[in-house]
Amino acid sequence: MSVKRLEPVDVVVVGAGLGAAAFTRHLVEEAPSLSVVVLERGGWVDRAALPAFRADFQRDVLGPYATSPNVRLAAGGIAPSADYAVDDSQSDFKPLMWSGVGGSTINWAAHFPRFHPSDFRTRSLDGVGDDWPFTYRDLEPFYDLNDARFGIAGLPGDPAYPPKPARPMPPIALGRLGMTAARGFDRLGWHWWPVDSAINSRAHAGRPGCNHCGPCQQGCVTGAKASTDMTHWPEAIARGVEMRTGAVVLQVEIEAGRVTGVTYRTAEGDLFQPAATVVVAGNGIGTARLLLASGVSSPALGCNLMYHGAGYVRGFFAEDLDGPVGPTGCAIYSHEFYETDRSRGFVRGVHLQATRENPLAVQAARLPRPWGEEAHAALLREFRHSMAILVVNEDLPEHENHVGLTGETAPDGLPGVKVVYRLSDHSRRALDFGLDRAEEMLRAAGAVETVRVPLAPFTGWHLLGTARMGTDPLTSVTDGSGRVHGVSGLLVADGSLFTTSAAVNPGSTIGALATKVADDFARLVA
Amino acid sequence: MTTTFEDAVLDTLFPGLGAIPPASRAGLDVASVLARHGGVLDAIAATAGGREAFAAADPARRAHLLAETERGTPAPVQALVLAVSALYHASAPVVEAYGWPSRPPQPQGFAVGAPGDEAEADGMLERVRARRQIWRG
Repeated sequence: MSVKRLEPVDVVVVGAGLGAAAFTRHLVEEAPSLSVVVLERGGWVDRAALPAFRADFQRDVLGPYATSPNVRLAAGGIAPSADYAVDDSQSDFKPLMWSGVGGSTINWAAHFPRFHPSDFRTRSLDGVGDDWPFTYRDLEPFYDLNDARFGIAGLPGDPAYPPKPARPMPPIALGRLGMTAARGFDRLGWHWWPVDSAINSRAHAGRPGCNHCGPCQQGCVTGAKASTDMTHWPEAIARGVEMRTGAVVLQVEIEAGRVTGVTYRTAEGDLFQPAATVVVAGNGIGTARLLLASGVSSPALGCNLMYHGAGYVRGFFAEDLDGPVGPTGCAIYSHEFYETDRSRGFVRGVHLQATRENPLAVQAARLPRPWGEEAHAALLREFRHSMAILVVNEDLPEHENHVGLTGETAPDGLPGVKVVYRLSDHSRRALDFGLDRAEEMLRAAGAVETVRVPLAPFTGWHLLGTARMGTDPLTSVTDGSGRVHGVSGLLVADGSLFTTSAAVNPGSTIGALATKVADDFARLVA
Repeated sequence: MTTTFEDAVLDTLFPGLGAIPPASRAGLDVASVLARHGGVLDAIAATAGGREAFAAADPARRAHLLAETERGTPAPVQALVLAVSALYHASAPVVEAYGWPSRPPQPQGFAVGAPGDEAEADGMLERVRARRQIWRG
């Protein structure tokens, strides 16, 4: 097949998710003279077509708008997310993502915590993982910039964090569920705080306030929830960035240790886009897949996959807790047990998060015995009367947890991809500790019964560490500015770069980090 | 249009309870689901000694037969259960019987929060603030 050669550009960005958007938006502000092309395999979301406008939206939650690309593909797929299958048969967690403009910010929960300062120094402080090549203080200005670009609802004064800039909006309403959880934490004298969320609690930046409809993870139809197709790309495009959708990058072309551009596939054929710099931002799976397929050789490439360990405890209450309304992941959290206390038998810590209820069909699908009379009895007991306390622990980098190629060619033209991941003993101990605390809190909050779910497989949103930063090319893929060791002109700008994972959602840190990568790059080319 | 046997299977999966209708009377469009899971229906019939035998059995016996089929071929039975469950628990009569509106979540959304929440939360958060820094540098 012939490959048409296009006119050269300065920068090609592969992907249009969170990292790519944060990188590109910052780059075009700092280096406006650069020509930038973004290649995105999926398309733009049509908000009017999202499930929340339909009475049968619940079916979509379990099928074509499921959070897992494998489930979506099995249900026939949906056009804006150009999904590829991930062989997750050897993984304790199932990868979740969206492959279209906005990436997983389309269907994320928009829970937007920062890392703690200690998260950047796990080796120095606790003798595990590795230190990041920079500190919280180095990243702080980029956190601030990134927060402003997303628009964050939150409350200042949280003693679990260094001071953060004032938020333009108050937190999302806690509701009965959040208030019940808060009382539980309060009775125990434990830390709790309303979450920082990338969801408008009132009209802000041309987008409306959230009306608590519920199914955030099937895409926000009103635009109250920030996603980079609204918060970043329009601005970047207005400044001259060219976005090409339906463009599957097959290969980063490298000659004599320097990138020359990318080859990508469209419905019209294969094209070669020459570029002086290629920035890959396809998440911890997509980025590793493409770099491995492109022959980038690094002993650390694809390795050290981190998801975050996750389990939860469900509590059942006599009183009504609102039901399936409000942003799923945006109520309150506790960092009472976030920092290391060696007396617990493990280092690093856990994040506890009150999670709102799911729609009826989703709750029903999760019953231990989901049919027969007892299913009705169980569902009557829990629907509108339950909350889950999600326990997230810091997943430490393990070389053998990895993203690899299957050896077969996938329908998109790239090699097939697999993930191999087993929960470590460290994570198990941390999760068990966190589950005990969650149970204790739920009882204190008034739960009449609790059910423990030791491992939550469908929480694999956080795809981290497979092109990690560091100084040693034997143990890292890039330097602290996202530049791939040994390949001039090749950068990474997404969660693949994470040296360690902390124990909180990574979106805020992915955005801050990609902004810093852009800033470093802009200084270099200025 | 479903057969007596299919109705019996559906109602064994999701029988009625009080105001909650049985699956055969919840207005489900199950034809494609049943066609996709035909092998499971055959397995259930085989366990029962025939479709008529299953349909004629009392509810407790049907539940026993279904459980027995599930023990023998768990994955296919669970796939059928989940497929029917998704339709059943998303159907308007069932959603409403569980006390929830069957309208779409948008454009109306839902009200969250009650008067007094903010003041109570502020009071509790004062105690958290009073602890000062709990993060490590």
